[in-house]
Amino acid sequence: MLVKLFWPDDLQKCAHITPKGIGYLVGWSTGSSSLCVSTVFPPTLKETLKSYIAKQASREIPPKLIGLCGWGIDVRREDVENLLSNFDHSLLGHVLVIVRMNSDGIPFPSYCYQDRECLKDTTVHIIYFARPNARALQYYSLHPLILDLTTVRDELTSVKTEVEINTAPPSVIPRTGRKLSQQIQSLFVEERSSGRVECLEILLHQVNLCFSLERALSRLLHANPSRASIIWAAGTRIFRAPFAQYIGRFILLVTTILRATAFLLIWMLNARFPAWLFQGTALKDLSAAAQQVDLRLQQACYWPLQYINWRRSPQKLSRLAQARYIGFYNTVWLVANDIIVGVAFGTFLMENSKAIAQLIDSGISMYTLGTTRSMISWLMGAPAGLKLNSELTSFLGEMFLELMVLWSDWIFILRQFLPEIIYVIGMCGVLGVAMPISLLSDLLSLVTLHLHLCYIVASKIYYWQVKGILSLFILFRGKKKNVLRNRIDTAEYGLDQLLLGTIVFTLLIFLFPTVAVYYILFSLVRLTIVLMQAVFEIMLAMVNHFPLFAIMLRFKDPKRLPAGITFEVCSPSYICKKAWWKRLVFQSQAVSRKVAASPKSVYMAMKSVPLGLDSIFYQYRYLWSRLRTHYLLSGIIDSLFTGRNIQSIPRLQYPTLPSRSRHRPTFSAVFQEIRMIFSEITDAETKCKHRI
Amino acid sequence: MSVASFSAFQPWKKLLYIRQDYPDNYVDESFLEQMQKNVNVRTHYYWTVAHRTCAVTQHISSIMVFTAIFVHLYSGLLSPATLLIITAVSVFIGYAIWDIIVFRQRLKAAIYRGRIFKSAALLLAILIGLTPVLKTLTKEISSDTVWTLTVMMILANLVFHDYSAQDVLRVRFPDSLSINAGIFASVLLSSRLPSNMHVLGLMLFAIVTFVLFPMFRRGFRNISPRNDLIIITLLSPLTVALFLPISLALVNIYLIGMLFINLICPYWLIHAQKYKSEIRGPWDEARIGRRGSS
Repeated sequence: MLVKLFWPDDLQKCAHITPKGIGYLVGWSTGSSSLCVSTVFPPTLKETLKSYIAKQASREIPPKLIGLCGWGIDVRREDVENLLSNFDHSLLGHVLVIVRMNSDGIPFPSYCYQDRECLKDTTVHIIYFARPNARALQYYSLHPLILDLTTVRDELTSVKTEVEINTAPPSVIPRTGRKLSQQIQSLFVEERSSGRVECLEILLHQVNLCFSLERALSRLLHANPSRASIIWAAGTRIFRAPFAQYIGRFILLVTTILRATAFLLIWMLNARFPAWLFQGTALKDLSAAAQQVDLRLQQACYWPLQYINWRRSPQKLSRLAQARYIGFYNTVWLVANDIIVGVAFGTFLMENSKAIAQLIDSGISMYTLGTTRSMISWLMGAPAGLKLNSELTSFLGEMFLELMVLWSDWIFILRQFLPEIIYVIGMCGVLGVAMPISLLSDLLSLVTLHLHLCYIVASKIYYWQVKGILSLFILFRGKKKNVLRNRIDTAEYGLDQLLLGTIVFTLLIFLFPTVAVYYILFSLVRLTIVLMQAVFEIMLAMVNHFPLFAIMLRFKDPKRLPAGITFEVCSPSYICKKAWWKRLVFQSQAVSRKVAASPKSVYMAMKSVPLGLDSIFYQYRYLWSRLRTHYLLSGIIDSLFTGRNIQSIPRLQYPTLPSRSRHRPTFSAVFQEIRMIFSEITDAETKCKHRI
Repeated sequence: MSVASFSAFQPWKKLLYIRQDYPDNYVDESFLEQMQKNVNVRTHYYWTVAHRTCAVTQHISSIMVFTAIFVHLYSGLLSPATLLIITAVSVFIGYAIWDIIVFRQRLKAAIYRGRIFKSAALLLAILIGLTPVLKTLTKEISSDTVWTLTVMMILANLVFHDYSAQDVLRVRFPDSLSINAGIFASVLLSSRLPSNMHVLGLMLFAIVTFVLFPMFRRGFRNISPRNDLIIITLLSPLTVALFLPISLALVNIYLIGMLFINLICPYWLIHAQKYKSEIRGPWDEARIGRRGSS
């Protein structure tokens, strides 16, 4: 019969028995063949142990007594009889294992008991594991941690049910090939009357609970209250004082007012202009700074909800709770990081505002005004030897040049105040480095507004021309587009239609090169500006969505980001953790000892596999795919040829927020939110009253 | 053939799905009975064909007249005022004849007249408005390109023209491509002319040549075959007279070409008819017979 024993590698240090002593193994037993050890309890305090186990019996996975351990001595039959007589059936596990720990702490299992009978011919596999410190939120998990909240977005906003998401298959990552993984997985499957049961999840859960059980038992042993608990008790007493209630209510009121103003601002930013102004877009889509403000406000509104959801999640170590936790702290870190870098960048801008303003000024005059003017003048002649219709080209050229002249008069005013503007932008750096970046992006679009206008005019003319040519060409051939059948049929026109169509077609064909040349110039200019704004957007995206917290965790403590477990066959002295040269010296002794023990036991080590870097940087994958689809696919090329507007990519910055807030909130929704907040306050107040 | 086939008593049926005693590729005397040869071939008579060929020569002549008018305008021999007057007079005469023809067959001519006047007035107004644009449209294109394109367009006009005769009451333009090619050619040409009046004159004359005159000719021919000869006897001397100041060689080529197309080509066609061998049979696509009433 095969028994699997999970053994923490620091058991020797936390054992509460002395060397040359016997102790009770406390832990969990699953099914008929799996045991997980948490700690060793001295036999002198067996009444305390009995009462503790009895108290914990109502838990989901109650701890039990699962065996005897002798440190440096052999366990005698009388000790086993003693154990069996003292403890009744409900406090003992199904299987009891008798283990002998040698002086280095290496366990050598001797034999097993089941139902008060000694089992002959048992093989015990010992699986070492590093005890996960639950206070530091370390744990083992079969499924990788979800960092990508977009897949579980809607579950995050619901607190009542802990929906178990099994999007990834459990990963027992083999170190030495696939066959080992299959064997290990089959190791943990039990045959029961209800069918095959996978025990691995339950065992990992018990492993995760090892730490807290060991803490609870050691508290039992040392019954002195620690200093920390005294302070904690005093702290709770202070909280209950009525004075604190008023401060609490005041803070609640202030946060509610802030939240209401935030909602109002969000509504204002999302409100659409009327259809005749700016084509009915919202303020948020026009300006990058408004988008950034909106994003921050929505994050700020969602942030307390995130915290409350995390606190309310029933199992702190489930994947959902971990995702919420990491999401929450990631936002905290990002904002803090943002503000730090923003202050640095802002001071840089403020100190060098004059030099930067001069740079921008020369850039404006050289590129937006001077170069464009010379290009238009070039087009008015015969550019590159092309024969343009001189009347039309001079007309168009004059028109655009007039626009330039008008614009340069207006921009002159702006250029006077450029140092002050840069200074103000630097001051906004206090709100995070994303603010100056988005304000600079807005400054760029403001400064090139005239080029945008020229582009719109040129593209409209070009678009009409292309459309006219295409449809009149159909007329030229004597056919007509049949709208009902969506095909081109032969048709016979009336005389005046025919003549007029032909004359206009000739006109359009001959004027096409002239218009096309102007269109190409302005659309290339517009493309350049859009690409520069894309660079700004990428920088903003990097600042807004850098997974700082996850990276820090990954490097500081990989055990907090598990993505699976791996088993490795090792030698029994794995847990000794001696220096490598000592291990060489003492190797021979361990070997001889191993031979003395049961020859069939296998020693394995279970390790946690941390999350890979590509799943941490999932947001960048998402951003990259969106950028690529918008800019590199045929959409842009198509619009270049047919004359439709080139747009910059919309809504790049919103993947981490829940889908509910992705929709533009109407005023009534905002009002509902405010009412809900007020009702929450009154609920909290009644709760405080009850407590008093 | 084996003895067995001669000794078969059952007559051979033209069916492959019954097992017969004949081999599969056996044919009997009813083979190819239903084949029809040269069903569509009609015997042509020389003078009828020659008569009908006048349609082609008429069109070529009218295009030559147009070219001659342009050359005269370009060289300054013809003043635009004269051209406008000539155009107006010829349109008026042509319309009068047309009206009489239509009026004989239908009584409700007033509505048609109103419509025609309205569209003519609109067209004239737009043309006058577009004249300055048309004048400078292809100014920058070199003359060689212009002449080449014009020739190509006129050839397209000739090739795609509708040379049939049609009913005067239902006026249709199945040859839109040829009309468009002609107008395109005239727009190209008009940029070589010095002033706006020249352009207006040329455009109006082009409309007459490429649209109105063919329409008139088609209706006129429909009435009686004698009208064909009337038109051609009027057009040819006009062409010769207009081209004489330009180039004598061209006049000779024109006359020889006319004679060739009108007199020699019909003979050639009839001579080639005897080589025609067309078969039709039940193996062709089914032809749905035209039914007189539903």
